[in-house]
Amino acid sequence: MTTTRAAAEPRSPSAALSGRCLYVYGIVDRPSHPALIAAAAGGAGLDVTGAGRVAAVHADIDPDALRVIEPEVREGTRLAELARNHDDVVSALARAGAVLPMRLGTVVADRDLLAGLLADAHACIADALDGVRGCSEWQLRIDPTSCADEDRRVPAQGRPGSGAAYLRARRDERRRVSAADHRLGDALDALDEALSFFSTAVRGALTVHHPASRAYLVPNSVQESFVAAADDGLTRLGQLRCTARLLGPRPAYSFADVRLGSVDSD
Amino acid sequence: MSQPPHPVTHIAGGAVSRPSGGGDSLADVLERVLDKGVVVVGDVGVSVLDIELLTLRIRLLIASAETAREMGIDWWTGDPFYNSGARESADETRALRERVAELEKRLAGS
Repeated sequence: MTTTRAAAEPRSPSAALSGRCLYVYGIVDRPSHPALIAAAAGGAGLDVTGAGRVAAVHADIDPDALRVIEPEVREGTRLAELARNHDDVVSALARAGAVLPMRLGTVVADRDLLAGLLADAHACIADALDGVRGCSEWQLRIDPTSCADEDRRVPAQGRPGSGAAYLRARRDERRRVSAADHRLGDALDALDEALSFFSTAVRGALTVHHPASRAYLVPNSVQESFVAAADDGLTRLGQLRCTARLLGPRPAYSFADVRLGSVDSD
Repeated sequence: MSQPPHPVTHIAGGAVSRPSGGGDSLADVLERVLDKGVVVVGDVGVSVLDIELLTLRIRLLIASAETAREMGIDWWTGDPFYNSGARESADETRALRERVAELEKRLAGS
C-alpha cells in the first residue's frame, strides 16, 4: 500500500497503452485491508492504494480489455459487462461502508500516480466520504411527456367554427392544459417535499415538461420512512397517469462530487 | 450502520417490483456509471478511457439511438441543449405561440 504522497506529474495518454494500469472502482475509508475489500466485493484481484485517511479500491488490468467496439449497447456486450462489473463492485463496497464511486472507465497508470491524486484532493475526498457515510442514493425518475392525462394533451388542430368560437375553444383548452400542469406540478412538489424531508442532500431537478430525474441521499436509518413517503406520492402520480419510478437504494453516484487532478480539487 | 433495505423499484400507480436478485436493467446501470461518480480530469490520469467513453457516448447518442431509446435511455431527445432538433422545435413552437397570441389579440380586438 502506498502511504506517501507522490507528485501527480502529467502523463501522456498513451502511457496506459503500453502495459498494465489500475482500474479504479471507488474511494473508501482507510485503513482498508485489501483482503477485506476483496471479500466485500466478492472477487479477487482487488487492491487498495491509500493517502491519509482515504484509499482507492482498484484492480490491475490490461487497458486493451477496456476497448469496446460493439456497435450496439445491449445485454451481453462488452460495455454491458464492464458496466455491470463496475456497479457490482461499487455496490458491494457500499454495503460494507462509505464509498465514493468512480465513473465507469477510470484508469490510472500506477500506484504512485493514484496516491498523488488522492493526496492532492484529500480534504475534498474526506468531506465527500463523510457526506455519504451511512446513506444511500434513491432516484426518482419521471416522464411527464408520457402523462396520459387527457387534459395535458395538445388540442386537436383545425377546429371548425367562427373566430369567437375558436377563441373560446382555445381559451378552454389552454385552461385545461394549465390546470393539468398545475395538478401534476403540485403532485411532484408534494412528493419532492416528502422525499427531501428524509434526505441529507438532493441533486437534479424535476419538471412537468421534460423527462427528468432527481437523486436523494437518504440515511439508511430512515429509509423505510422514505419509502413509505414515496409510496403515497407515487400513488398520486399514478392517479394522474404520469410515468414515474423510484429506484434504490444505490451507491451515492450522484453525490460523489469530486474531480481528481484539477487544481481546485481541494 | 443500519443496513439499507433490499433494492426496489417503485412505479407510479402503486406497483412495487423487487427485481430478481436485486438487479437493475442495463439502462439503469449505464445511466448511473456513465455520467456520475468521481472523475479524473486533465492529463494527470490516463485518459485512454476518456476517449473510449466519449466514443461510447457518441455512439449511444447517434449510432445506437434507437437501441438506447428501446432501453429507456432517451433523456437527450427532449433536451434542447443536447438535441438540435429539439432546439429548433422549441424555437419554432415559441415563434408559433407568439404568432397565435398575436392573431388572437387581433381577433379579440376586432
